Amino acid sequence: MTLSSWKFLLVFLPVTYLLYMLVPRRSRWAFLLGMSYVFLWLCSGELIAYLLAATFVTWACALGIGQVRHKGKLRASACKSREERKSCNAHTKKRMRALLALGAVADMGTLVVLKYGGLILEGLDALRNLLGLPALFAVSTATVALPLGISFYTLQALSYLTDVYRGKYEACRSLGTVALFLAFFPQMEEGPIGRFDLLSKQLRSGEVARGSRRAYGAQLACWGLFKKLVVADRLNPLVGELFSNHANYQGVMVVLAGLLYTLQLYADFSGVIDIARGSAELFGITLSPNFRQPFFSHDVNEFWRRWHMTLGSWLRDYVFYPVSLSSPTRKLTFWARKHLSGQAMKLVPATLALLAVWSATGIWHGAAVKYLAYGLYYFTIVMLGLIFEPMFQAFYKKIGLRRDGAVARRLAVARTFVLVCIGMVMFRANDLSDFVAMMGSLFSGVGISPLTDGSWLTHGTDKFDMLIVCIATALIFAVDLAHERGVSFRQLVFGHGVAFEWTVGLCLLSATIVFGAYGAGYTVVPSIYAGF
Amino acid sequence: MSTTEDNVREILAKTFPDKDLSSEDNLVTSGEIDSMSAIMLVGELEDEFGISISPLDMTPENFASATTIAALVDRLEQD
Repeated sequence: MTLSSWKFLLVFLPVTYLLYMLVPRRSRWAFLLGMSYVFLWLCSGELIAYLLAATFVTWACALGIGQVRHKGKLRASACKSREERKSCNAHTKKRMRALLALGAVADMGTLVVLKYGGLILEGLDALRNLLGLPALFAVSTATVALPLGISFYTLQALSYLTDVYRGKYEACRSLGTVALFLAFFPQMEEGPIGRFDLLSKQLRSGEVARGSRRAYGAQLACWGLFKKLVVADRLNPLVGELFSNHANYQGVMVVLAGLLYTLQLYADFSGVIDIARGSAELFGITLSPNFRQPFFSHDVNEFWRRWHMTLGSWLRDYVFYPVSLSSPTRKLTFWARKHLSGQAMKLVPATLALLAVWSATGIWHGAAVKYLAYGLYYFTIVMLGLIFEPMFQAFYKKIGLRRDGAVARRLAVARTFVLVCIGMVMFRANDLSDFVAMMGSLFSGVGISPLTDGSWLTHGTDKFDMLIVCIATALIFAVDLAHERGVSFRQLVFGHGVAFEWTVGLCLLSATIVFGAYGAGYTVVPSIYAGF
Repeated sequence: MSTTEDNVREILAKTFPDKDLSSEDNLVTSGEIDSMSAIMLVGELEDEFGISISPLDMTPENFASATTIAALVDRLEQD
């Protein structure tokens, strides 16, 4: 069962919502937890055991950290001298750190073993071969089944543990609340990655969406379904063909592959996120947005502040800042200030943190070299941008073009879009060598005839499909443009009377039912990010 | 206006010579300061005031304006 399936949208979600309204308010959170586990059981079966174990370990370690801190404060206040107090605090900190490490290793370790174990073993085996050592065991290349949402709930668990350790908020005594935070069913498939302090009160509140909030939730989910079924799933056969048989396509067809996959991924990922957020609204819960019109970005830094926003902010708060403010980086910063000047002085300290962030970005997506390369691709672009920033400024000054002017900003948006599409080709390609081959064939000199002869419209996506995709994409772009100009989806639809709201909702639903790529002749397309 | 705030304004001017951020009150939400430039600013603040800024202090509220940055500095100096 996926969020875009009829089983979820026509059975599970409505039944859960109706029963939720009937349950007494103070018990609604427990009911949501129960239904979340039912959802996960239906999706992952006995693999739910991993989530249950992670939940207990996270809750217990966080509670332990809180208790150690509290007892440590009491002991420190009873100390007679400054030295004694300092020693007491150091001991407390050490014990808190040990509990944080225990929880983090348990949570992260499970993810690493399940998701990357195969790759690690293959790497070790390759090293063993290189060194000419005998094999101690046979390396299995079988894929391990992952429980749904493990990459998402693990990050949520780590953020909760770290926040409690940092003293941002107290550890939660209720195992049930922590369990619901990690298991809340709308966010299990593709996120968004939530934060405990933003979600916990909402999850426990037992609120039910009524009136326009319920309508908004339903319409947001409809909009997400429209993007997923009408655009993303309709493009899937053609994108699959262009990437699987890339040797048959050169030049302009590689450009087409990059453009179509970028569109497919955006429609798929943002579509499922809208379904998740719309579903959560029905239960009075507002999940964080994950996209903010990413293709209006002026550089890749901005793109990653607008694309998969909750992953970006997680990496900023739990990787970038900790690495930047760590002791080795501070020492490096101090050294850079003494021995370097200008841009180099600023760049050297940031390099470590940026490398950590972009490596993590790549690796989080999957156990393959291409994903690491994907992260390092963006690291390289960001670093080159920083290194050449003074030269860019001088260049714009020389040609008399204002960098914040309309022309320069539009060029920047176009340039960023090209860079993102190249990254998407790497992301989608079967492996790095396929990506290199595809990029190499860009300048094969075949002209635009492969595009205009229409032969590419015989692989599961025909002219009618492309017409629908184009019209739907124009609609998505129009909505994004309205958002970029400060007019929200809610403002567009709501506040103009119930009749208007219902008309928009029914039109959207009808368009999805009529033009969605499902049923006979179509293959069910799993959500792309659910696989990460 | 406190001395700390004056110093913070000087540091903002020195760290971001191409921008006038001294009177801005939405430095993070407006995009004037992103995570990269926040780290550069942190380095300057730590050097100037002899404080240690932790990841927990890296919030949009603390870095919203020269005034809030100065308040953060004052608090950390007392800790």
